[in-house]
Amino acid sequence: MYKTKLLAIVMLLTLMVGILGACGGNANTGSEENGAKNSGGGKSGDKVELSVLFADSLFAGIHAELIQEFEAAHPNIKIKAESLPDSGIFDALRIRVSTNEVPDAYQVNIGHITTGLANDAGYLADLSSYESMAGYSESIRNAVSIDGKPALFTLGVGVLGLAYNKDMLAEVGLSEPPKTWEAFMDAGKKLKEKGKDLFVYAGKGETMMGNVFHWAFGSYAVKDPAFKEAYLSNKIDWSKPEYRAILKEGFERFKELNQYTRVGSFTNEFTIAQQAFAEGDSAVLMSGTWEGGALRKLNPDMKLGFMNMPYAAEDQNAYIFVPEDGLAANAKSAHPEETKIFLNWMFSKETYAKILKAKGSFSAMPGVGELDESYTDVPAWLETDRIQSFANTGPVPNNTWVALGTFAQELTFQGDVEKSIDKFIAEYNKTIAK
Amino acid sequence: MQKRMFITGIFFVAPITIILAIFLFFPILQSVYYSFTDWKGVGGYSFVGFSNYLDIFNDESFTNALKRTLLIGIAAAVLTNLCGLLFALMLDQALKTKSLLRALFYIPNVIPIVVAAFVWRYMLDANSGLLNEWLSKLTGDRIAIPWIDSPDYVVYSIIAITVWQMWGPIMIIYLAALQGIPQDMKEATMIDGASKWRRFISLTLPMIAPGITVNVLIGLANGLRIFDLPFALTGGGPAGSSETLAVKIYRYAFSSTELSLGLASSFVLTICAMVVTFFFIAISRQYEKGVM
Repeated sequence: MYKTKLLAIVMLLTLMVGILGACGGNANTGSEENGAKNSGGGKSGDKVELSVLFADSLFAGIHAELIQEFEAAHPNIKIKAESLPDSGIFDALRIRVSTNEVPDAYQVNIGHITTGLANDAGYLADLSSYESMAGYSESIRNAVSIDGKPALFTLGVGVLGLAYNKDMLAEVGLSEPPKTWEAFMDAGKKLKEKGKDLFVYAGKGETMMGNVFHWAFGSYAVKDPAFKEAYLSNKIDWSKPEYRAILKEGFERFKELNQYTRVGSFTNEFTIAQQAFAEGDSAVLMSGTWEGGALRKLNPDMKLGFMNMPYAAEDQNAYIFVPEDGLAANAKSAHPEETKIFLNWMFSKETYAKILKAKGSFSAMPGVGELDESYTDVPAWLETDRIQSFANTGPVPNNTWVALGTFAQELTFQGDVEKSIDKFIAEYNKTIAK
Repeated sequence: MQKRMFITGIFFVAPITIILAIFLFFPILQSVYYSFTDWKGVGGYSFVGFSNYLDIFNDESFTNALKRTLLIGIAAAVLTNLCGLLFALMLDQALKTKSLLRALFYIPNVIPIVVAAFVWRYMLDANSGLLNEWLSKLTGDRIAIPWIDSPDYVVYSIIAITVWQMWGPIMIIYLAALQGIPQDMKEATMIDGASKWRRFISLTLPMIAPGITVNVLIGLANGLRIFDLPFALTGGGPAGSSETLAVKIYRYAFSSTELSLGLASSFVLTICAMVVTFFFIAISRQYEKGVM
């Protein structure tokens, strides 16, 4: 009996010590813990481990070789790369910010809600002192700034648009991409008759479903500066009939387009949509000037083109400018010097040129990289006064934009356009009121 | 002596009590507290009373997700049990392939659900999925049913996959219960001339009643908290038609900055799960009392 009690007491004490040890004491952040693990990382001979978080597509699949190259050149720094599916990257960042486990370098999108959260929590480093930031033009540095500080090394800039298969459009008599909505829908009808789809996109990427509305809002903003200002500042009075009409047209066109959209687009991962496009099942893919490399990799023989969504007449249509995602540095990193070395190397002109080559995206650094031939028209678009800086995730708050996509999908399956509009307006006003 | 026993008992109970208090009760209470605030997961917060609860019940997508989750939970519990019991009855016979079948029925539960979701995504794809291909060959017509791409089908597809995934462990519990029925009782009912159906109703079912309670609770719990399958299979789409309460909680908490709404929704889910569970336990106890 005595032995049993003694054993119980010893076990209990051991457990208590274990629990208290696990729970108490170290109130450091995750990144600080990472640092503690490698304390003295800066000392010669010790290896520092940097954690880097990004989505699968950010480096178009060449991240492993880049990291290998970096580690070979910097034997004292080890990169612990965490690559996640595209649809989960910002959710992951959101969790890391909440739990104070932000990696040393991490993917952000300048307009995304999580970037603001990271900034509010003090995790967004000012990159103005990083040498590689000088490679970007001033306009790009401004476009990727928050609170006046450059906050990310963007992988590129460009426009949201439609990648298209030239051969498939030629099959329905189009030697040039369609210039009007009617011609676009006509192409859809003809392709459907041949058992093919006009359009494919990826609903799993939450914000993508609302993308058609970028052109709905953008083309109206081209002709109405007051609307543009209200839109960018999230103060649209949707009770105005002319503004309500924008929504109505957007919803109706979304529904019309979905007659020729590949089944599965509402629940697809983007990789599935890319695959359907690359295999010639769909003629057009909702895309941007950052996908060329990935698409050519999937089908090197495809004659790839890139067009603006023909939402409005060509001379009134908007071009949707998007600063691409990039890497930010953790302002609370335990290894700020090593993080700086890594990011400076990653976004040096030489490394950035390699990334651009793999991605086929539109360069954000003057004089670096070659323009993919499918994007030859894009520089001329950027010369016009019809550029709308409606990044993929703004200015409408993320959850309201996702709701817009959901209401538009609901309308596609069943429902009443007026009800869909009312639902969106209620959601918009509710979010803005908060 | 009794006091000593009591103190010893306390010592033995203390470790798990402390662990539960730290890792379960405290976080639950903290979550309930935060559900009455406007905390976004980062930074400060203020007390907002029942405002979050009012907000979620005014949100149509939340109430739809709640109804959908209850449907999935109840349907999954019923169907998983029917399938599990059927397979267990099959395997309780003198079959040569018993071991092989048992392994085959159990395999779906071993596959990680996210992996299973991706496999099912290819199986159920409307354009080139195997299921439509088989149906097309069977009927001679081109079948392109949007199993996971239409609000009309997606919930039923999710229920079916959940049942497929869960019937293994349920079957094993039933099989153990069936094998626990004394042989002499089985023989007595046969000598009395009872038909197979009568033997099942009057002997088998009452004898495995505790197993039914456990299995239905397992089925309900799995159905009500379902997250990974719809999230990996459809992301909650199309048009939010496969968004379960757990997915909705995730959306509130992580896709937007409304963590406090997510916490309020979690509390509602917990209450629903408890109500459904206690209701079922009450019914099953009555049944067990009545028949045993």
